[in-house]
Amino acid sequence: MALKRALTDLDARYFLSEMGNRLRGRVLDKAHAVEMQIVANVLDTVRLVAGASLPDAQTFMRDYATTIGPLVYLPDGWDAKTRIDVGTHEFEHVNQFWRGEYGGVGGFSAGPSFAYLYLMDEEVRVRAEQRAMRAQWEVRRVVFGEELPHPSTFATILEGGYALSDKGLKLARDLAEIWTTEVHYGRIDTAAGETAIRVLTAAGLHG
Amino acid sequence: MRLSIVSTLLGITLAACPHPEPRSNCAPGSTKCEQGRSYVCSPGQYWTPSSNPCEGPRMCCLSQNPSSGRSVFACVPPEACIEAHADAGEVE
Repeated sequence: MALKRALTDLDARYFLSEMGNRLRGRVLDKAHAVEMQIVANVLDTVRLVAGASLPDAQTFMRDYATTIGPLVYLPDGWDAKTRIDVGTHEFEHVNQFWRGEYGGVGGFSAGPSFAYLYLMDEEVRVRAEQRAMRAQWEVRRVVFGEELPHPSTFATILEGGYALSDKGLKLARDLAEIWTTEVHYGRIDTAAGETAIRVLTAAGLHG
Repeated sequence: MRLSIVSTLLGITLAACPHPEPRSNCAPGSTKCEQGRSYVCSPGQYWTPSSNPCEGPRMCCLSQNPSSGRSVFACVPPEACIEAHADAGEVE
């Protein structure tokens, strides 16, 4: 299955706006956000002082989308498909902030404690990122008809920029083994993935 | 001053939050089904849910990842199960 027509910049703007309405988030321009410049400088300092596996300020501003609570910061210059793809990922983090992991049933809880645990506990960071990557791939598979890569890909992605130990990367790989199996067999399980598919269908791009 | 006291208390409160799952003696990386939901054993030996409980025609059972070939417990259609019984055992 593939898209019904080519994506436009307007499609991406509509998509991100609708995702924001439905999942209670808002997309902002990262390049012009003073708070992101501050975060970039803090990361740079931590990276230089502690030698942590973190991106430098320029890479952070150009190549990384960032979500803080309900606010999604997207860099300039990304094409429509990338904004939809990465936007889906980031809106799963928005959902984690508001509802916790699995709506707070059997997973980490919502709100400031999620933000705190994401920063302080690598297991939570891995779980949150794997879930967000799953959301992306639910859309890629259903809407764009893409084949899932090997599960180890989703651990490799986290090797740089997330300050993970070998144990954290192993958990990433183990979780990816399960969710890629489920997505392969058509299971949509994330709020952002399900919402994104609905929005793209309502926009006449899928279905 | 007041801000730093509030921040410290908030930090202690957040830092004292318990892990959402009880610690187990599971083998890290092993998977299991329990009450229709798949779990993976984390490096810290916690059974960690890997998705929401199965719904509709899907069931939690032993299945094979199509890319890696590794057998894991997951929520899949019954025809994708390689073991008849759900909620049975663990696999590493």
